[in-house]
Amino acid sequence: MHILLIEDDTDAGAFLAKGLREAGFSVEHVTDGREALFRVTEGRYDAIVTDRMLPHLDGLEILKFLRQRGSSTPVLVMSALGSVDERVRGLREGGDDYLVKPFAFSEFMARVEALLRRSHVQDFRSVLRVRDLEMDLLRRRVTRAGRDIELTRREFDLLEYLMRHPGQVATRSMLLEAVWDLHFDPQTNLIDVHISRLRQAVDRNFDRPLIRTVRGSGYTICDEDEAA
Amino acid sequence: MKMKLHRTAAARNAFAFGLTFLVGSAFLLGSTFLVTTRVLDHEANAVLAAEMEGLLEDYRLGGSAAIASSLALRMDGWGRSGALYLLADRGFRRIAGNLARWPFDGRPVDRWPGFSVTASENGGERPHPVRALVRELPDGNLVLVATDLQERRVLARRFGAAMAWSVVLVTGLAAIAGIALSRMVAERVAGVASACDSILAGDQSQRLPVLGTRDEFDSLAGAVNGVLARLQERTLLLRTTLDSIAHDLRAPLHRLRVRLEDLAAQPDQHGQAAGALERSLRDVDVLHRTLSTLLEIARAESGEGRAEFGVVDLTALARDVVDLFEPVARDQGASLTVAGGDPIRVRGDRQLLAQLLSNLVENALRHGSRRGRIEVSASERDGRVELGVRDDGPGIAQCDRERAMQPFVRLSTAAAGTGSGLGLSLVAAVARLHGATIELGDNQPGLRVAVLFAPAGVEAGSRPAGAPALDTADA
Repeated sequence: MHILLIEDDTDAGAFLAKGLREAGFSVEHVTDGREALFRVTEGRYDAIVTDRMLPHLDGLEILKFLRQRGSSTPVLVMSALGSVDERVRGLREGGDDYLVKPFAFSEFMARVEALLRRSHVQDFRSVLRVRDLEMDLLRRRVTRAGRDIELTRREFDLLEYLMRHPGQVATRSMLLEAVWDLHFDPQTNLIDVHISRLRQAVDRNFDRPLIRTVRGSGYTICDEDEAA
Repeated sequence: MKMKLHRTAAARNAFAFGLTFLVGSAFLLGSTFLVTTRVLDHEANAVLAAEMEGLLEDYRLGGSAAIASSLALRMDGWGRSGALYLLADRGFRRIAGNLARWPFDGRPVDRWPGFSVTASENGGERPHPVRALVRELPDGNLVLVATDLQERRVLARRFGAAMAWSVVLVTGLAAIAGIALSRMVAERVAGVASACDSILAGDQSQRLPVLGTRDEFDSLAGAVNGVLARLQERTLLLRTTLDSIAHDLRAPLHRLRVRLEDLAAQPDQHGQAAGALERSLRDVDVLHRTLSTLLEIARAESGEGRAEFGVVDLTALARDVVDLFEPVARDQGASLTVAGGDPIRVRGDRQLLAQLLSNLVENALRHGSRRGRIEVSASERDGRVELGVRDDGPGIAQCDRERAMQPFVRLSTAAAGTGSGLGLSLVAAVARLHGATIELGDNQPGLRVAVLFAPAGVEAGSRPAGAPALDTADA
């Protein structure tokens, strides 16, 4: 997987690049807006991560340019401009995700992975399966090993998000955005409490827990491969 | 903003204008009419007096016989001039003149006695009013001179009618002018009002209309536009300042966090150092949160973001926030519920309103009573929308309520060390951005926080539901 990282802050950029490489990606790191425009025109990338306030231009200009050329390469916008309307602008210009600095590397990583795995094909499945857990989206019914599991509406939504992205880490803020459409950071660990309730329902009476905590990051639901 | 015409000051002025014209012209023309009729009366009297004088002169020359012959002459010479004469003896019997008989019962008492004669007019017979002057001659005979007032009456009536029509016409014209004037004024004021509305709605580039008529409205609009331009400049400056602050503080904070994380990831950590790094990272996050809240407050206070407003259903929002916090409340043993079910729509920013509500719910959870009851409600009464959060905790004393809204204020009742002290400030700023006011009240027991939206901020229930304020990121 090839990632273009556009970040003029050399320290922060180097750290992100190092982290991405350690995670097994190949990374091109550029620090200048014009250089970035050139690379975007020439190269093929699986994902682009760009800062907003770059020398010579706004990262959103690069994004706009990319989208005008018809490219659908996923783009994560990072910015020190964190207000609600800046975020809206970022997404309106064609950004796939918007991350406000400072952020934890784990948050960054989870979002990059989510971008890379995002399918551009509409997911038409009506039944989601993770091992013996089965979710019928049409009847809004969840069973595990054939036994019915009662969930509230939000627990169902949370579980659906996790099951649509098995093996991927979903951070607390990703879940908050996906399930509640809220883009701010409540001070209480609300998501943890919701997940613990979901666990009560899904994992309590079974030997192998499916919902796992990824330390310092968030949560994931195990798929086949990781179960071993 | 469409105003009812009759409620505008201009229309009221036009009405007063018309009324003044009505009274003024009625007085003016009425007095002219009175003066004119009096002049006509005087003229009639003067004619009668002059005629009488002539007849008395005749008498002095030749007695009653001279009068009789003079009357014959006068009647011939004047023809149908409306002059009537009668010479009668002391028994009121006719001696000469063009009146058939004495018209009074004996001697009239008035100086200018009136009677009426029947005159042929346009082929018909009509009574005409007549004014007379009577003198007794030294020989005992009576001489009567009279004049037909009909023509003068007709003249006066026509004159009066013309005056009345003039009053009606002047008043009508004044009213029409008034209405035209008030229309013009109302239109210009409506133009100003609608420009102000869109400025308040966040379009700071909007200016008041200047029509080039160089009138007071134009100069007023010009002056206001000057102020608006200044305000827009300020806002732009504020925005770039805020952006710079955001960038200049977040970028080093970001580098700091990155380095700390990098260090924490190194394998050769002593336990103590690892703990310190962990705590430092947490502090960076606290700093970040406080900074974000401050920036959000500043941005909301600057009035920016109104341009991005959409339609938000407060009931749905209350449900979303409540079900986000409900498990935490349940873990605390508290109950958190939503009251009301009908959609209540306002113009606003869903994210900011959600943050406002989250802060209020967090406060209620933090400061409310243990195992307490917290109720969130969205309601509408008389076009006023209220978003309320009530708890049954210790509440906030009357004297502390104003202070509670100020930044960094932690009231003594607040649990020590929790919260940034910015929660209610952000609530207040977001409310202000939405044209709403905050009311802290007594829930007996507990705190009642009401966010009251001005009617202008309330969306009429006609829009289709489910239009969120912001595009949602696809997840």
